[in-house]
Order: sequence, then structure tokens, then C-alpha cells
Amino acid sequence: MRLRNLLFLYTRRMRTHPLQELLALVGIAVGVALVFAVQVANTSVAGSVEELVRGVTGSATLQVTARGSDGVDAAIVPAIARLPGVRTAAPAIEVRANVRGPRGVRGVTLLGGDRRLVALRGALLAQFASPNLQLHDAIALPRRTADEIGARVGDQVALEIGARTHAAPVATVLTPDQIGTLANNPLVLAPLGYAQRIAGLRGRISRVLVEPLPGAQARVRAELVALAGAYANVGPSDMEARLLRQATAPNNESTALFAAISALVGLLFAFNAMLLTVPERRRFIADLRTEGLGDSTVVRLVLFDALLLGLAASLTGLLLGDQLSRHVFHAAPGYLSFAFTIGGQRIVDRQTIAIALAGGIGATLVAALRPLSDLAARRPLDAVYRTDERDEDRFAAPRRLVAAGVALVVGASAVLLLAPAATVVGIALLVGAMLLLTPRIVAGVLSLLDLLARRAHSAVLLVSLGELRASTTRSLALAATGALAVFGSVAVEGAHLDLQRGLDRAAHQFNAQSGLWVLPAGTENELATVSFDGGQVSRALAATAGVASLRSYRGGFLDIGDRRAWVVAPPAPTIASILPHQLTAGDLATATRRLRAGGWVALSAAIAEEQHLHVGDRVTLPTARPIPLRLAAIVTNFGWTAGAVILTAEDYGRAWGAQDVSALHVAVAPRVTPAALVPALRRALGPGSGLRVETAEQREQRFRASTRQGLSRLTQIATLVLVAAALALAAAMSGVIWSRRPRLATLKLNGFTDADVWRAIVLESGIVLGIGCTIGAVFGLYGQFMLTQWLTRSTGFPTSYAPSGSLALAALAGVTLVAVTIAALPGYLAARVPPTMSFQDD
Amino acid sequence: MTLLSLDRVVKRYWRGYREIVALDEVSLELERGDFVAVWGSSRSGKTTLLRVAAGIEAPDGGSVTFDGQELATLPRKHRARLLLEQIGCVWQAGRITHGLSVLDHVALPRLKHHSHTQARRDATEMLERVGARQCAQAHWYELSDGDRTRVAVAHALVRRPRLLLADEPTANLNMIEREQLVSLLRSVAEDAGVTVLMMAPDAPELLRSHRLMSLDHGRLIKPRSERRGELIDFPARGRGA
Amino acid sequence: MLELRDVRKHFTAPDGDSVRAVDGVSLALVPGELVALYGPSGSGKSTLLFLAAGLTRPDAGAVLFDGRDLARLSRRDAARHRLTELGFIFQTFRLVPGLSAIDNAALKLMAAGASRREARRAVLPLLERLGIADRAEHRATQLSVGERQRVAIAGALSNGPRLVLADEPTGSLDSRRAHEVLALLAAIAVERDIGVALVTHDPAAAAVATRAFRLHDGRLEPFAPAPTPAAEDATGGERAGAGARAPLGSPE
Repeated sequence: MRLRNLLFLYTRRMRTHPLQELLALVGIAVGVALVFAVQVANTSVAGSVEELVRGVTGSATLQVTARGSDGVDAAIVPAIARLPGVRTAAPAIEVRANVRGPRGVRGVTLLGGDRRLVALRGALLAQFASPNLQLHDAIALPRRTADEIGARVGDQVALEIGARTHAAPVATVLTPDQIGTLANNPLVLAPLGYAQRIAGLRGRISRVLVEPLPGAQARVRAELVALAGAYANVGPSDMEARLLRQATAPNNESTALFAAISALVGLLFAFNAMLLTVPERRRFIADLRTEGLGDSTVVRLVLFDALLLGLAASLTGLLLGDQLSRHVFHAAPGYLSFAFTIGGQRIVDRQTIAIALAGGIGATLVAALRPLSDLAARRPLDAVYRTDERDEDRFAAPRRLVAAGVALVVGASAVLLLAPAATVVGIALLVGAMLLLTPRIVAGVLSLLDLLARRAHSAVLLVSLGELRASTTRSLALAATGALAVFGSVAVEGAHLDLQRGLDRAAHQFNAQSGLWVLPAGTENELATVSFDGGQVSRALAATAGVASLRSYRGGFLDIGDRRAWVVAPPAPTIASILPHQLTAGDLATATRRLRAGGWVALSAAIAEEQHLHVGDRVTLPTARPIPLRLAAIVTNFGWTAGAVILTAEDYGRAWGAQDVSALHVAVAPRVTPAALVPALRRALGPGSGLRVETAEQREQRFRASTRQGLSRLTQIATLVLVAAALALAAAMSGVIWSRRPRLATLKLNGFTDADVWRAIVLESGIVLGIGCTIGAVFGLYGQFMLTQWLTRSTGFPTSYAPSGSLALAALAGVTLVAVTIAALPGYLAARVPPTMSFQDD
Repeated sequence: MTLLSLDRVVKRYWRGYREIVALDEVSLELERGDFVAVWGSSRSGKTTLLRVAAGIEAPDGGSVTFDGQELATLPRKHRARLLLEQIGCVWQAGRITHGLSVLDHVALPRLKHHSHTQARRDATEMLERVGARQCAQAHWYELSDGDRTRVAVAHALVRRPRLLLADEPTANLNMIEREQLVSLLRSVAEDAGVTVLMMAPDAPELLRSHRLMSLDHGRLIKPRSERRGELIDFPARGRGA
Repeated sequence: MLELRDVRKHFTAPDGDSVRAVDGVSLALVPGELVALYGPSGSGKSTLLFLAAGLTRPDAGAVLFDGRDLARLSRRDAARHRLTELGFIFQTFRLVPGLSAIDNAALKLMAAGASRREARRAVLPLLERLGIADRAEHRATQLSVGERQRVAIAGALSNGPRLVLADEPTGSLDSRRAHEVLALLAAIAVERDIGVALVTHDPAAAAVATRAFRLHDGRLEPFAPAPTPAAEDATGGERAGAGARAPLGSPE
């Protein structure tokens, strides 16, 4: 048949059931939107860092990076430039800072370079190739940063680096026209000399970017290692992006898990929605076959139909998902920005769009196959006409399904016990088990209700059960969708809560002491990794009345292999308060004693595994001045995904060869409240010190807030899945109820009141959803256990497990109630159907 | 020239646990332009006979030949095409294609090979011919039984078939409407040369046909006299089921 | 028991014309009688049934049941009225597919307050009488159309209605079953002293009816349909010959 005629037929048919087609479209679109939004959220973070890296490094392929925050001697640069095979060697300053303007303050990376860096032709610095755009003792800001702090060209802004504040004039604001999406990155650009001065790094640099001559890559690398490998890191120029990928891996895995669950839920939504239209499609196909239109025509029509719907729905879903990712998922995981310069741009790549589109169309096609199965089975036509009500009495699920389901549960448990790193696979198995066992469970509950109905006086219950049993596939699809949504939410949100509890406990242990903290300001310095010269400050503080004692803390980031690890170096006496609950290998008392003594270090599990280390082994860390250490214990990662390193502040000083501190703890004299001391300390520090003073409680609160913010993405997605599920379920149920009106009319003809019919409808919805959501809740609790185990044992996070019974109940009740309530309205309208409709033919 | 011939066709099917013989060695020959009526009680196999004649169901025994070709040997595709282009059916259940309006339903058979404007034109013309023009824009459930039957006949005729099979088209019609319908069928047979095989529950219209048979529990009983146009003496019927 | 007083009802046809389906019909139905209604296909006869049931309100005139004007009833009371006093038998009935035959038939009684056990017990004799007791526990989807029709009939009669309204009740049945159903209705009308109004094409109905009418141009007139040669009466005898009597009343 001609294509135009196919289209014609489609439009004619659409007019008769517009509502159902619309519901199908919405269901599919929601699924597609979820998958798309989650994908975009994932790729944007990594994508923005990669963009920045490319924008800075340009054609450089190697880099030499300092291991400490005080950089390396700038004399290394001409030495590198002289190496054979090196075309360009460009020095750069790169330090974390805060920039403060009239409207606010922002954590940024101060990037300093000269014409050698510009010569690498990175997109970020290309502007500065022209001579009239030279900065002299002034800075350039990307548009977004400038907007956020309210700075314009010509303004003076305050740069807080370490303990110092410096006033810097803004020479230019870089717009998207000039540097594209890089304008979203939190940066401050300055000429090299100026940057060195204000960062307190005169004569020193953070990094050298090296562009080798063609073909000389390997040779140059070897030479660089020989030259600087003892005290600096030599690696590829996109090291930053790699480190970030490492850091986001667990986040990405869990978000990928979420994306998979969302995709499954989306598929089920689509399936549910298509199911609405299946009886009509089957009858239409049967009618076409009766006409003699031929199998190939029928197949073409069905696929054309499905393709159109799938395409329209997927495109709608993409639009919807775009809005979602803009308004709901736009914030970057905050904790990552402690260590990486992450821009706020949304990056939507072709792959994401393709996956979402393919998913939506695929789901529609799969669901469209059902009506075609009649064709394939060569089912005689009258059987089709009769079966639109018969709809396979398949609640009597074959034993195979149950056996397979149980096997999958066992399999999931085996994965958990034996291969905890693959727990995500185990979760998938668990989901499969849940779906396979649902028919049997539903059948079982219905039989139970049947027993109840036997003694009942209620025609309403009987009618509900009868309707449920009639449309098996639909009821199962509804139950499965509810189960999946609740499962996803309970498992992930439950694990999230466990993680949050663990992190909170770690935070508390960190800040267990009362008293006050003095450390560089800036939201990116939560982990106390920015260092400052403690000498003068300590003297000023110690002289203040009410101060009982001062203790110096050190810390920073250390790149170990592919990881940017967090180094925590508290003073020896405080080690004892940090370690409890955080050990995964080693004895607490022994470890504490050893660490306090010095010469020992504690590493998080991932680092220890990579380096093949066991408790008691010798450890050499890639610091500026490597010192011999031994492994005292294996600990959690304290919430930092790449891993943690614990050693005393004294050892830190030796290993990094620096006397800077990253935080000072002030113990207050007896009978002095910490809060009362704050103003005095601030005065002692003087204005423009760049340091902030806060109480231990405040610091703990901020710590908690930042981890919460970082993990908030998980809660967002969990909630979204639940809401979408409730809505889609309500839509599907409404469609079913509405199409059932002629049958309801018959009931009313026989004397059922509006209220009776409405109660039957609501009861039916409640039963099927209640069963499905309960199944999801029960399996979800096991899923939560698995996920938390994974977080603890595989990724090394600190967790505190507690089965989230109340969460499960809330999710279960929430979805059921919301969906049933929403469907109750069309149910009410359907119940008011005039009894005369029962006389209408279908 | 024989258009349709059934040779000792047997058809069985299961109902519950019993096997029922719907057609018991039925033999029948129809020529071009024949108007044949078959009378039989319910459950006598009338509908099955028509379905087998149309090629929708395969007989369990015997053969069905349309225009010299045995239906059982034809591939599915050809049988489907026969159904679409050469055989028109008027079924008792009387529904329109699900989801289409009356006009589109009548136009559907033509959509395979013609543009939709052409198809709709043909449909309108056919509805006019059967006297149901006003039904074109109506809803199916608003139509009276007589109109529905007329629409079904239009739907069957729009494809300009060579064979028209009708399953009790006169049921649910009153006297006048029956007259009209039978006249129409007769004119279609005689003027357009369409072979018409009609099942009917009652006698009066059967008289207007060229030939008359009865179907009793799967057995086709031809009247003793094969001469056309004679007043047929009804055979004594068997005891009840 | 049921009285229609000069009832009028019109509706708008698809082409915009106003059709007078019922145009001044008066009818009184007493318990124990079975009234057969014939007429051209079209919604006139069904409209009359709807009016008699109180499912639609007349444009003019009144429909009284036991002296009460049905048009005055609230939705609730109308439902109650249908539940307790009326029984509907019609062609496009729909059963609840997931329930068994006997449960379907029992629904009406349960809606009226009986327990499931009582309702099933009460409905079983009806099923026996209709010849489908052996299929009582089968799901509705497993029954043939004729069997479903009979389940619906059992359900309609289950609550002991005082008025049975039937629209082509024998449409899906073969002639033997059809006749059984008609005979059953006639018998019940007498046994239980109920009124039956039957809309039909089947001439056989006239044989069991107390009165027969035809709806013509919206008005009722007495009618005696021609018995056709194919008609089989309850005694199973034969009729031969095509000598059809001309129907009374003028054709259009």
C-alpha cells in the first residue's frame, strides 16, 4: 500500500482514540525524559572539565606538575625548553582562590601564564594572542564568574589566596562569543608574573605544559621523568580530566544505576501506555486481515504506526528531558569542585540524544509487537475477536518463572558475597527477580482476596477482583511499574541515607573537639586543603585573651596514580578521635598508637589495593620529599571518592618540605564560650586576612551541608522517579477505566449506584498498585542492603547501615495513594456514565 | 462457467470437550451470475460454509476451488488478495473496521491500490447505489439495522467482486427492508454478473433467488428438482438437535 | 403497574433533523402480562424501553411506576429502583470478564445486600432453568455468546424484578434456545406476576405475548406479525409451505 495511504489510515484512526494515543505518547515521553536528563547530568560534569583542559593545554601533550601547593622552581622551565624534541615549554601558575566582588564571592582557580602558554593555542587563551589584549597586573574573568560576583570591567575585586587578600583590577571579561562554553568555568586569568606575586609563589610555578615535536612524544616524556620525576609528576596533559573521571566513577556508577532503573521504568511506562492501545490495535489488525489486506501490509501499517508514535513521543521526551536537566539537575556535584575546576555548563552530546531517541522508539516498537504476535501465530481471526476480553488467564504463572526468579535472587546474593565490586550487576539481577516473581505474588494475593470475598457481602470487591483478573497483562504491567519505581527509590535513597549518616559521623569525628577553627575562607576549602603561612597568624592568635592553646593542622591533595587523594594530617594527639568507625583493616588501638608515634600512614582501601599494600608494609608516597612510611591501617575514604591519606601533621611537614599549615584549631580557656571569642580573634587577624574564624559546630554544619549538597542529586532522581511513576500510573489507569465505561454502564443498568461503581474502580486500582508497590518496597530493602554494602566495601565510603523501613513505607504509600487519588477523578467521571451507554456497540 | 465449487468439504471444530462436525461432505457449484440462497437453522454451519468458501478457513476434508484454483494450494498472500479484490463478504456480526468512520470503512478495500481520494469517491458512489448515502458521516451506533446491512453490502461491493457471500443479511430487517435488500442482491447478480451466495433464516426472500438449498447440521440438502425458478417444496426436516 | 401517559420524546438525527421517536404513546402494563413491541429498525423502540425504565426523561407526558413519576427520582433512587424493581435483558450486555458465570449472575443480588453465598444459591435454579448450570463456574470469557446471553438473563431475573424490559433478548441465540427463553419469560410473567415488555423482530414472540404492538411514526398500534414458515413453535412441529399472510398495517 502506498505510504500516503498508510498515513491517511493512521490519521483517520487517530481521531477515534485520541486520548489513548496521547496517554501512550506521554508515557513514552516521560521515560525518555528521565533517561536523557540523567545522562546529561552525568556527562556535563566530566565534559566541562575536559573542555577546560583542552582549552588550556591546547597542543601540549605532556605536563610536569608540582606535588605540593608551593610549586616547583621556575628554573626548570628553560631546562625543559632546552631538551631535544621539545617544541614549546609553557609555565603556568594554578592555585585555588576565592574572588570576591560586590555581589558575592566565588571559589575559582587562578590561572597564570605568559605568551608561551598562549602559543599552545588553547581556546581559552587564544584571545591573548593579539598584542592589544595584554594584561598588566590585571585579571580577566569569564562572563559567568563575573556575573556571579557582580564585577565589570574596570572594577576592583578581592582575590583571597591562602591567608592573603589582594585587590585586583578587572581588565576584561571573556564572553561566550570569544571562548564559547568555557565562559562558564570558575577561573581568574592573570599574567604569569602577576599571578606569581599575588599567589606568593615568586620564582616558582605550578605546572609546565610541554609540546613535543612530532614523533618525539615518548622520548621527551622519558627525558622529563629523568629531569624532574623525583619531585614532580610527569604525565599526559589531560591528567586533570583523568583524575576527575576517577573521582566521579562511583558517582557515575551509581548514577548509571539510576539511569538504568529510570530507563527500565521509562520502558515500563511506555509499555503500560501502549498496552492501553493494544486491544484496539489487535482488533484493527484482525479487521484488516478479514479484509484480505495481506500480512505484509498489516505489518507495515503496525510498524509505521508505532514508528510515528515512537518518534513523536521521543522528541517530546527529549524536550521534556532538556527542561528537566536545565532546572532540576543543573547544579554540579559540589564536593567535586573542591578538587577540580568544574564549570556549570550543560553538555549535551550526540550520544546522549541518540541513546534517548533509540530508547523511546525501541520501547514503542517492542510494545507494538504484541498485536503482531497474532499474525505470527497465525491465530484464526475469530479467536482474536473473542480474546480481546479473554486476554490470557496468565496469572497462573508457570513454575519456571518462579524458579527463575528465585534463582536470580540467589544469584544476586552470590554476587554480593563473592564479588562486591559487581554489585551493580547484582542489583540488576534482583530487579529481574522481582519482575519475574511479580505474577505469582499477584496471583497469590488475589486468591487470598478471593477467600475474603467469599464471606463478603460486597459486590464491589467482587467486581474489582473480576476486572483485575480479566486484564492480566495490564494489571501485571501496572504492578510491575509500581514495584520498579518503589524499588529504585527505596534502594537508592536508602543507601543514600546510609551514606549520609556515615559521612555525618565522619564529619563529627573530624570536628569532635569544641573550640574554634581558623582556616582560609572559601567554599572550596571545606576539606582544608589550602595552605597558608601559619607563623605570624599563630603568634597573633596565641596572644589573644581566652585562647588556651593552638594546634596546627595540615592537609592537601595528592595525585597518586590516577587519583587525586585527600591528605588529612592532624596533630598527633587528635588521631585517636578520627580513626574509630573508619577502619576496614587493622586494629584500632595499634593503629592509633603507631600513627601518633609518627612514621606511619593510613590509606583508604582503593589506594592500598592499587599499590598492593597490606597493613605493616612500607609505603612511599609521591610527595615533594618522599619519606619512608609504613601502613598502619586501611580506612574508609572519609567521603572523598578518590581516596584518603591520614598521617600526622609533623610527618606531612617532612614529606612535603613545607611549613605551611592548612588550619589552626583554637582551644578556648575554661569558662569562655567559643562564640564569644570569635570577634576578638577576628580582630587579631586583622582585616583582609583571607582567613575565617568559626566554631566547631559551625564547621561541622558546613561540612554536612556540603556533603548533602553533593549527594542531593540522588534524592532528586529518586523523587523524580517516584513522581513520574505515580503520574504515569494514574494516566494508564485512567485510560483503562475510561475505556471500560460501556461495561460500567451495564453495572449501573443493573442497579449499581454511582458510588458503588466508583468504589469498585478505586478498590481495583488500589489493590493492583498496593501489591506492586509492596513488592517493590520489600525488594527495595534488600536492594538498599546491597547498595550500602557496595558503597562500603567496594568504593570505601563511610556508611552506617539501617534498614529504611519508614522510607519504604513512605514510598509505597506515596505512589499508591497519589496514583489512586489522581485516577479517582476520571474514575468518578467514568462512574457517572449513563446506563444507556450499555446499549452501545463497541 | 463455474466460479466457485466445493467438493465434499468437511469441517470440524471443538467446543469444550465435544467435537462438532460443522460441514458434512458439502458439495456445491456456483456459476457466474448465480444467485443462490441457503436456508438453515442456527448452528447448522451456515457461517462456517461461507468462511470456507471465502478461503478464510481451510476445510478439514474435501476441496474448495475458486475460478479454477484450489484455495488450499494458494499461498496466504494470494488468498488474501482474492479476499480483497474478488470476494466480498457481508457478515452477520456486522461491524465496521475498528476505528474508522463509515465512509472510510467502505473505502478501505480500495486503499491498497488506489489513492485515498479515489477510494473515497468509489465508496461514496457505492453507498449511493445501495441507498445508504446519508450514512457516510454517521456513527455506527446511530445506524439502524437496515442501514448497517446496506453499508456492509456497499463495503463488499466497492471492490467490484466476482463473488458475494452474505451471512443472513436479512436478519433484523423488517419486511420492506428485506424486499429491498433482496432486490438489490438480485440486480447485482443479474446486471453485474456477480455470483451471490446468501444464507437466510426465512423463506420469503429465498424465493427470489435462482436456486435454493438447505443446510441441516452440516449437510447440504438440495431440492429434488434442480430446475430454476420452480416453487420449491421444502424437504421434511429432521428431528431437532 | 407501569403506565405511560401520552409520552413524547424526540432526538436529533445525524443529519440534523429532529426525529420524533416517541410521539404520544400511552400504555398501561399490568402484572402478569407480556407485551411484544415490533417496529422498523431505528431507535424508537429502544427509546420507549429507556423511558419505561426511567433512564431518560420524556419531553412531554409522564412515566409512572406504581403511580410514582420516574422523572422525579434522584440518581440514587433511580438506581435503587432499577436494582429492586427492574430487570434488563438486552443484546449488548457485558459481563465482568474475570468472574464466573454464577458470580456474574449473582452480582445484582449482592449489590442489593445479599452475601455472596446466598446470592449464588438463589441464582442457581435460574441457571438450571436456562440450561447453563453445568457451566456455572466457568469464567465469563470461556462461555459462548449464547451462554453469556443466558447468564445475563439469569442475572436480570435474579432479584425478582416486577418489570422485565427486554431488547432483542434472543438475538444471539439459535431458534431453539430463543424459544426456550421466550417461553421462560412468558412463564415467569405468569408465575411471579410480573410485567414483561419485549422489543423484538422475532414473530415467535407474538405467540407468547399477551399483547403485541408496533411502533410506527412514534405511535403504538396493535400488530400481529406473520408467522413465517421457518418459525418453530414449542411443540416442535413442522410447518411447510410459503403461504405467508400479508401483514396488517400499511407498508411505508
